[in-house]
Amino acid sequence: MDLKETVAQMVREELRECVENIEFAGPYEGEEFTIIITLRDEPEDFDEREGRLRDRVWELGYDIGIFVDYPEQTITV
Amino acid sequence: MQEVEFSKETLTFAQMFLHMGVTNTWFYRMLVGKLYYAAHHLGRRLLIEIGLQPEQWRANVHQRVLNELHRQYVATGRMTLEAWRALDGLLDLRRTADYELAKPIRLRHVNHALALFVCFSEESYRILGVS
Repeated sequence: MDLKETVAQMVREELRECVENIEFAGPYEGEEFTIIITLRDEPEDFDEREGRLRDRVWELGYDIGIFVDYPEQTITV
Repeated sequence: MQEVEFSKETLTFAQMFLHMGVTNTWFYRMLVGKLYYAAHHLGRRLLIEIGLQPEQWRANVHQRVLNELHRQYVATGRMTLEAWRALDGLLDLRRTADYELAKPIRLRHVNHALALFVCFSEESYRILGVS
């Protein structure tokens, strides 16, 4: 399993039903890549789940970014 | 310490601009960047305080600051994992805000960045012994 798929699997394990979409970006500054997670909805224990995810990704030993996009609309001008 | 002064100024101005009700993604990208760099400078100060010289590092400086903070402070029980995660999260937000122009940076992201910044900066002030 390559590194991207390994991280995507961790995302699916920790965030499960909340994940709407997963994509990858970068690298831009020497990191391996950033995984961009679009949430379908945000569970009450999201911070705890994201913390576990960050720890698991950190333990892989690579510089991997995690970016979460939320299921809300923001008015921009 | 100039890093502490800069971080306090950054938080004050970020909150002030948000209270003005600005809703613009360019502005949100800028705020996320400033909050990250203010936290990054605090992290460097923490490393300088224990004798490291991050100003001499020439590659992967952002990740190296995180790695050394984990090694020198988190692993030794001097910094909470939560605070370290906050700086890690700020770096990811900043990279995406700076490089992924197709990704909208929302007010929610800025508020999250503010919360992460407060978490990391307050822990840094405690370690540095400043109020």
